Amino acid sequence: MRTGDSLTEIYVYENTQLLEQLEEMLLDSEKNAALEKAHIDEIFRVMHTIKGSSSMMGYEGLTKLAHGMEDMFAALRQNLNAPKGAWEPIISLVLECVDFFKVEISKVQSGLAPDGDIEALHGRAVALLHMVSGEAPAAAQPGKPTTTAPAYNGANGELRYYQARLFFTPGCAMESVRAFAVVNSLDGLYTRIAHEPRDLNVNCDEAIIANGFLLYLESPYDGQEIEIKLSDTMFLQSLEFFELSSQEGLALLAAPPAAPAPAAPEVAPQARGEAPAQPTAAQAVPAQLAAPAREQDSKEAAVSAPKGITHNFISVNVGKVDQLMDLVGEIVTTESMVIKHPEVVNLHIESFEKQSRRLRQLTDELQDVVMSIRMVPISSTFRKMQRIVRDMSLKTGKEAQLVLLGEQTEVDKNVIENLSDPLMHMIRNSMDHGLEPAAERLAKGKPAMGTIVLEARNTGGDVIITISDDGQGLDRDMLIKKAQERGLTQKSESEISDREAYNFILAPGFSTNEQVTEFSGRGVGMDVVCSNVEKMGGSVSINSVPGNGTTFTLQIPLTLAIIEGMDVRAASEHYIIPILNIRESFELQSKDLIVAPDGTESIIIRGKCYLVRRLHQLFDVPGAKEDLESGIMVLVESERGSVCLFVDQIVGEQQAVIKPLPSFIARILGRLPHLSGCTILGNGSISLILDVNSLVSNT
Amino acid sequence: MTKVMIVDDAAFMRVSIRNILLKNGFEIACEAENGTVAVQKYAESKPDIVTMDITMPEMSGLDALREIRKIDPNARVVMVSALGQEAMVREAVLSGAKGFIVKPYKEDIIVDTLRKLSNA
Repeated sequence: MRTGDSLTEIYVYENTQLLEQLEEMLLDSEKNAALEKAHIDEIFRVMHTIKGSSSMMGYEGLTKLAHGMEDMFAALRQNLNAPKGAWEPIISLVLECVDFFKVEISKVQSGLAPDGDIEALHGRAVALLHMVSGEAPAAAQPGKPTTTAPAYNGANGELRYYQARLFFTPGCAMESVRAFAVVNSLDGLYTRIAHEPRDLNVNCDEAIIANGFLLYLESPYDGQEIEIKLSDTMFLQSLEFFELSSQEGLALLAAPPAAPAPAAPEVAPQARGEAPAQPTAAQAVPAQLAAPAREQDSKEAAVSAPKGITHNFISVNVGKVDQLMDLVGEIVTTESMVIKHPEVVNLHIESFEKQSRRLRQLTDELQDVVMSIRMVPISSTFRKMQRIVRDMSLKTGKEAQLVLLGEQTEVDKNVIENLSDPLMHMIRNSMDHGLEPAAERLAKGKPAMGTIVLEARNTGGDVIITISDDGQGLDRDMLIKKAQERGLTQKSESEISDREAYNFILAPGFSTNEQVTEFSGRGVGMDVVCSNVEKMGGSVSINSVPGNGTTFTLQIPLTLAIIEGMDVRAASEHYIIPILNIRESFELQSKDLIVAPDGTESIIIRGKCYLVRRLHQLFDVPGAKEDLESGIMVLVESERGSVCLFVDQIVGEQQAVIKPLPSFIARILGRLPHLSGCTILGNGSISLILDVNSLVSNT
Repeated sequence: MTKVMIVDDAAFMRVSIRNILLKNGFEIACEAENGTVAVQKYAESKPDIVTMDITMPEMSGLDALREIRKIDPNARVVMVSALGQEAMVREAVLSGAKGFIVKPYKEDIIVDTLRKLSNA
């Protein structure tokens, strides 16, 4: 239970909402590789809002980062055409900031301080700001080496002063040499240079890792060109670049920190021979740090509320909704107990029965409404997966598209929360191991872009979610081999069905990857996915066609579902069959029964053959009727097929609040087949609920 | 597809790099086990990028880099070095190496470096 004060709750809630909307909008924009005015405005407003509330809460880091982003977007609002090729890094930066903010805000939500390091992101925001607010025409694409001579500053190439701070990607090693390489790459672009650390011929890796590599330059050339050259550096994690006033610049270059240049002959030392105009001290170089008219904009934006926040919703504490659900469940059960009370049931008082029916109507309605409060379309979870696919695409270099089906399928809020992680893992898996690299796909005649289909649909009491890819499928032989090696099975290769082989992946500690990649881990993944799903009362199954692709299916029952059931009896044991699954019931004529040599019983109904399953046999109930003709046959069906269930008696309709079987049962006995839960009957006794799907498929 | 020439005197390293590159959509132009062979094969097969080990018999990676740059001033060579070889790497940078990576490296380091170079 969170005991945040209400201001913190609002901070978390509002900013989380904003960030989620922003992310959705950005992923759409990315496809068009540019930002429209409306988007730029929205991002500006969101950053402005986050800056405002973060500063109120005293979160300096978040305030500074939001401020940096706000500045950049203020510039974009002025100057709607970013230099070509700049949209990509801008959109990427915003997405990364969104991620960062989300992490920090969740820290706040947990009562921790948002202490993440903003410097890298902030540095990039500042760099992009300068790129955006600079003169547009001369800008070359970042990352492309300029083939033409760098542009002069003004007509005579007056000298300007710049400062740069570079951080290298952690773990790239030999930072001192990389810094040396940076200086080398600027050859010809400066008249004077100084840097910190000063001597790059000795090992100063630690200093550079801690403080970055600091450069001061005097140059007749356009700062943008120099910045672009610097951003071309390999293993560059962040670049901060800005212009200094000539006063500052001269001071920094002349002062003691002025470093002796690297000893190698080709690189010129401090002053170069062909230096053009003398730095005229009188020239006050206007600092280009602040975007013009930013002040005005901030004032404007402060008044208007961010677009897209106003809905006709109120936010409700989830705990209260849970309580409501529980109460409704109790009411349904109690209503049952009152109406079917043994003393009352046989009295047949008309007015009583009339009111009972009305009561029943009302509880039905109540139940529907409460269920719908907790039900949320799965679209928000699905949309998050777009982000995962995009990020994985960049990381693995494999192009892939995500197709979403059944986004409007509603699932219980509980389920949504527990579904994200398993889905993310499976999608990462698909992209990492399932989809082949573009070249291989083309060679196989597949389109270079891989496709992952994420689908959700409702079937009565369950939600079925499938993740399919059109990748290389699973290698059954390899899986069997691994399973045998790990002692997961004693069977021989020929005894194992394809399905069984694929499901080995779900066993703990199973991983067929020799090279465990950074993204999908070492087999900790799938079995955790499985147990997460099972915690929700669901199940995972896998199917695959080698060469064509793999499909993961999650079947999750709607929690706290109240189902219409039929109470049936075998001896003194009661079971509930969901009415949705019942086709018909009848008394058996022995002539319709077929007994196979192995004892399997089947029955023919209107020309079709159905397997017979005896309820008392399934659950080992002693004392039940054995003679098929004296009991009742119930034809049940699920999406996997149909089967005929033999029971002693059909007791009657029963509204059942499904409760999951207690976890200690699962711990001790393992997963019980054929049962999807239990419920309390009108007379207070417990009845088990049958899982027809399971009954039908287990041979 | 980007064609890469792998130069290293250790068969293990050549195989290791080859596997990583093939897995990540690169084409292997050819391999060489010392500087002399590297220069010769560069002229023959004109790869887009070269990964060059620094210490090799016959002709070192540094010398091979210089020879290759003479043949082709636009050659894109990435040095593969071990910690402690800073001085050699500096020389390589001055002689026109486009980048360097340090052993032991994770798969994504070499892949990212080559990808960035091939887009340049």
